[in-house]
Amino acid sequence: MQNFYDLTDTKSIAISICLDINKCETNPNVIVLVNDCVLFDAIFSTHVELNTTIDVKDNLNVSIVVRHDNEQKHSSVLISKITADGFAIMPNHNYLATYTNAQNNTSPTSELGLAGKWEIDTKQPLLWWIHEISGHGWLLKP
Amino acid sequence: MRITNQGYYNFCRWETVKYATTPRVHIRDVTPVDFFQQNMAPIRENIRNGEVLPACRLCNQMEEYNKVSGRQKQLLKTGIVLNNFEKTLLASPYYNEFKKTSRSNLMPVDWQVDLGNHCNGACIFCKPQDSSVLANEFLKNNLIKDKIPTSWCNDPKLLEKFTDTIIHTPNLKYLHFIGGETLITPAFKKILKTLIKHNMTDIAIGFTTNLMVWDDEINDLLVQFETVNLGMSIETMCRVNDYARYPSKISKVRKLLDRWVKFGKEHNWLTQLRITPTWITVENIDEVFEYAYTNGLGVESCNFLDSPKFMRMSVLPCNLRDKAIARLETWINSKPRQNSTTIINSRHPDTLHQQALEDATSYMTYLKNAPYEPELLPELIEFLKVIEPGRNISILNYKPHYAEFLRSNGY
Repeated sequence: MQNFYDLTDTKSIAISICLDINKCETNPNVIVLVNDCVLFDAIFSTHVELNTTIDVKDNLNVSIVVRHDNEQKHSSVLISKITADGFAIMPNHNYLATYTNAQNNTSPTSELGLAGKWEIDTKQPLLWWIHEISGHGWLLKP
Repeated sequence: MRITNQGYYNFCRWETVKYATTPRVHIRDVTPVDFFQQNMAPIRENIRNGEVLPACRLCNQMEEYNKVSGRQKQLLKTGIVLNNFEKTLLASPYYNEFKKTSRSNLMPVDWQVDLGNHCNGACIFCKPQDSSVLANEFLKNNLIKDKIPTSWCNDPKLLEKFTDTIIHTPNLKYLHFIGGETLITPAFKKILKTLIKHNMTDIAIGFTTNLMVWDDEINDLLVQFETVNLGMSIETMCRVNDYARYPSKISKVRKLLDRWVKFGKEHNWLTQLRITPTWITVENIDEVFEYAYTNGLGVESCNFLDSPKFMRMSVLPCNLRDKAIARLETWINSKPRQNSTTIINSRHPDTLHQQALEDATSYMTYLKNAPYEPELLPELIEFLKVIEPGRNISILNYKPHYAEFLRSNGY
C-alpha cells in the first residue's frame, strides 16, 4: 500500500500554452515566459504549443510580451489555451489576467493585438489559487 | 474536532465512536488543546501510515454510494482533493504539519460543538443522547434503563474551560453548534456573548435548528457575526414530517422555515436544509430538494443514517424503494444538470443547485444498491409498538401504503 511516506517531493505540474495568430501585414516579436523562464522568443508567425513544468508548490506566472517594431499593422496573438495539468486557466479565467499596453486597453481578452505585456500571476501556489478560483471555500493555513 | 453532548471529544465530527480504537476522553479530564495536540497524535500517525480507521466507516460508506463525505469536505479545507491527492497533499498549507510525528503545536480551529440533549423535539429517528424529551419518553417506556448524563455545558467550569480555549485560539475559523436544540440551550447564548465580548465576530458560526423555535435575542447576537451558516432540520414538506419530527406540525414548521429563509437572506447567511432520510421519509425527500432548489438553499445531510439501525432506509424492500427512487429520478431529471466535477464544498452559493442534484442522486444510488436489511424489522416493529401509543399516532395514518409491509412483519 502506498502511504504518506512514499510520496516524493519531486511532483510537478504540467503547464501547456497554445498560441495562435490572427494574420495581418507583419508578425510581432513575442516572448513567452513561465516563472521567468523564457519558453519562446521569436517572431511569431504560426500556431505554437509550449510545454513546461513547475514544482507542485510553486506560484505560476505566465507572461506574454508582444513587441511591434514599427507602425505597420501587426498580427494579433491569440491565447487559445493555457492549462495546468489539464485545468483550463485560459480562456476560462482571462478576467484574472492583466494586460498592459500603450493604448491602456485593459479589458480582459485572449487576443493580444497591441504591443504590451499580458500576464497572469497566481501570487500564491498555483494549487491554492486553483482552490480559490474554483470555489472550493476556505483554505485553512497553520 | 468535536465535543459530544456528554462532553467527550471526537477526533472528527463524523467519527463512529463505537469503532474507535482510542480511549474516550472527557473535557473534565483533558483540555481541548491537549486532546487535539497530544491525544490525537496516534490517530494522525495511523492515518499517515495508510490505515483505514474503523471509526471512519461513515465516510467510507458515503463514498461507496458517491455521496460527498465528511472526509472529503474536511480535506478540502486543507487544499486536498481526492482526485488529485498526491499533488494537492504536497502543496497543502498543512503538509509540513502532517509530516510531524510527535505532538502537534497547532490549535483546533474548526469545531463541532454538541451542546447537549436539551430539546423540545422527539424525532422518531433520534437518540436519547440527543433529545431530552426522547430520553424521558424512553425512560418511561423502559427503552433505556438509566438517565442520560447531564450535558457537559451545564457545568459552568467545563463551559469556561471550553470558552477559554476558543478565545485563546489564534485563527479560530469555525464553530458549528448542534444540540439538542441549540436555540433553547443556554450555553449557546453564553458562548456567542463570550465571542462578541472578545471581538471574535470574524469567526464563522454555524448552527442547526429544528424549526420549532424563534428567539429574537439570539438572532440579535448572531447578526453581529460576519459569517453565519444556518441549518434547518426538516424531513419532508408534507405531514409525514409530523410523524418523523414529533411533536412538530408541518404547518407551523413551514411558516418558521419561510421566516428563517427571509431572515437569512436579509443577513446574507448561508442557509441550508438539513435532512436525515429514513425509511419513513425517503419517499418524500424530493419535496425538500424542490423547496431548497426553488429558494436557492443548500441541502445537506451529514451521512446515511447509521443508528438507530432500524430507521435506516435499507429496511425498505425493493417494491417500496422503487417509488422513492422514481420520485427522486423524476425530480432530478426535471432540472438542468451541468457537466462539472463533484461539488465538495457544499457551501458555495453558486453551486447549490448542482450540489442538491448530486445529493439527491446519492440517495437514489443508495436506494438502488444498499442491501436490504430485513433482520432489523423485528426491532423496528417492537419499537413502533412501544413508542406510538404514548404519542397517540400510527405510522399507517401517514404511510397507509406501508400497511402490508408493516403488517406482514408483525405491526
